[in-house]
Amino acid sequence: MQIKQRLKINAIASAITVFIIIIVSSLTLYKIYQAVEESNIANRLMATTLERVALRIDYQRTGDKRAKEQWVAKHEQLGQLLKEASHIFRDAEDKKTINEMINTQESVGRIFAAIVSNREEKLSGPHHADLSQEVENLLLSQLNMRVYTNTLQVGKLQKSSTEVLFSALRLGGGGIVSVLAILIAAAVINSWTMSRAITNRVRMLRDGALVIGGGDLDHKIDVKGDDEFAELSDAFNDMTVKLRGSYHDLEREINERRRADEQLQKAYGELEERVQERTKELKELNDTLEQRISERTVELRAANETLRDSRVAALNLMRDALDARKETEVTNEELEFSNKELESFIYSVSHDLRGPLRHISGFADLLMKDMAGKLDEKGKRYLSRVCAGSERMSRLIDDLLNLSRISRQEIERNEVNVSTMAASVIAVLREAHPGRSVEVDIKEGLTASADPGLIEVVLSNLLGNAWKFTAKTEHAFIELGATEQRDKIIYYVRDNGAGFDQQYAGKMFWPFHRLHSESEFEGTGIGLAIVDRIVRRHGGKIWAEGAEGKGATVYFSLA
Amino acid sequence: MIFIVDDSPTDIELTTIALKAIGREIVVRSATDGKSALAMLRNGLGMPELILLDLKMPGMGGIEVLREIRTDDRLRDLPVVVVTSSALESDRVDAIAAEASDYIQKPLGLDQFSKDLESVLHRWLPN
Repeated sequence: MQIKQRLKINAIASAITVFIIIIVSSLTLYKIYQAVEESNIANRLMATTLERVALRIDYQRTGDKRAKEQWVAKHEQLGQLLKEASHIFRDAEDKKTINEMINTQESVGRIFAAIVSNREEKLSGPHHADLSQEVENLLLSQLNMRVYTNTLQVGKLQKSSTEVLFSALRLGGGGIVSVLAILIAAAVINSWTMSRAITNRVRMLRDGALVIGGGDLDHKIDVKGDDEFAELSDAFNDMTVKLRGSYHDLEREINERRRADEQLQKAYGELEERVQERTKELKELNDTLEQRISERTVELRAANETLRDSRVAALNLMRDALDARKETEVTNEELEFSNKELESFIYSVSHDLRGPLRHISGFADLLMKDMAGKLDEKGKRYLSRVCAGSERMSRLIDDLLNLSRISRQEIERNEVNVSTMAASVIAVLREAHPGRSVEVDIKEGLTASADPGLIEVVLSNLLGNAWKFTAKTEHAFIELGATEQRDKIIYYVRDNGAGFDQQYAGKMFWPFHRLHSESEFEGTGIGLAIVDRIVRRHGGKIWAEGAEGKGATVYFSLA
Repeated sequence: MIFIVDDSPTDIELTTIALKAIGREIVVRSATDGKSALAMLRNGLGMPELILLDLKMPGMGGIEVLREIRTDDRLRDLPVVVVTSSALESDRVDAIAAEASDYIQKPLGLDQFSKDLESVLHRWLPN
């Protein structure tokens, strides 16, 4: 049973009890009132009866007419009281007694009338005095007997009224006490069972909550019944099930996060390892670079006195930058770094070196034009040397810019017909030097997948060099061909010209580095450096074979 | 009047000589840095017919001077020719982007420079 219903029962029982107590009390009061009324009239009956006796005795003694009238009046009063009493008393026994009293009253009236007439006859007539007295005595004894009976009956009524009073008090007291006793007993029993039920169930819920709170989400609280605690326990179990669901979700999520975190940690560790490796490499590279730079800086300072010296310094710096690039190709960062350095170097070459050169050249021009008359032949010759030097310097700068441009240019590979391209380069050379007679052999059908513009630069440099270095050869011969090595095409340009000392073969490809003097063969020494750059940017290799006076062969691949 | 802005007095001299060599009657004024060039343009110099502007100058560079001119209501329409010894393509692009009227890469020879200047003058100052 639900606690709410139990509490309701307690309330209803109390209400009924109060109602019953009110009814019982009303009944008791009514009965007490009745008893008081009955007692009252009985007392008045007794008093009136006794007064009538006194008046009769008075009349008997005096025979007075006034006494007789007083008696009659009292007698009538008593009759009235009896009538009233017959209405008030309810009990059947009492009603019977009253009826008897009414009868007795009537006979008392008749006897008194007989006594009165006997006395009046004695006074008026010649009767015998003795006889008259005897009659009166007889009548008096009858009357007394009646009155006596009457008095007994009044006493009976008095007693009856007292009994009514007592029964009312019994009813009131006993009824209220027993109703209260029953109510208290019921309430105590109801409350006791209720409190037992509540305590037990609260304890079960508390124990269950402790178990669940301790982490056992599978625990089920088993409170049976149809009361609020059973509902609470059901709600609690529902909550536990949902909690278990959320807990499992949470656990799964935590596991996933932990796994992800571990992977992240692992990746981070690997990354850190790699960063450390790279940092170490970079540091090593940086150290060598720094060392070289500081070495070269010293050289640069020393070599800065003359234009020629500064050219060498620029060459060294350039070579350092290129060397640095060769070494640092492993990492993009390094490349970017040296590219930036190279760019700022190129910028100053382009702008800062060109400026003063223009001044030299400009004013030398002015001297030649405006002051030629004031110079002797020697002076003019010197001046022309200055002009030639400026022009050569300007060409060097342009070549240097070309080299830098090629280093940075994006490569766009296309199918290139190398043979056709070489033939047109040779055609240009023949046109530029119509006096030369050179035998040229270009292998048919050579192709390459490479940047066409850059390949043209490679071919015009290599074929141009071959053309240049065969200038002093009697039967000049130039060959362009290709062989295959491990699935790679190796192109080569061969000539029978001046050749070179194989010992310095590697240096040919450094910028500004020449194996022949300017007076022998003109040139800036940048052409092969450009070719080297282009070939390596295509992922290929370049090398040369030769001997002094016996021609040279330059080999290259493009992948 | 032609206004030369160049940080090198030698360059100003060479440019002046190259301009005179064209054979037209030309008044030349000059400034050796960007700030004073702008100050002269704004106060007292009078309106030049053409400006020859160097790019690389200490402090305020040529591109900045050009931008100032192009945002100044009075100077906005002046022909400004960028004249530089730089051979970098990026410098040319920057100058055009900053609304340079023309661009000359200073050649080595004085004669060639004179010819380059003459064609620029012909384009911007036909008279």
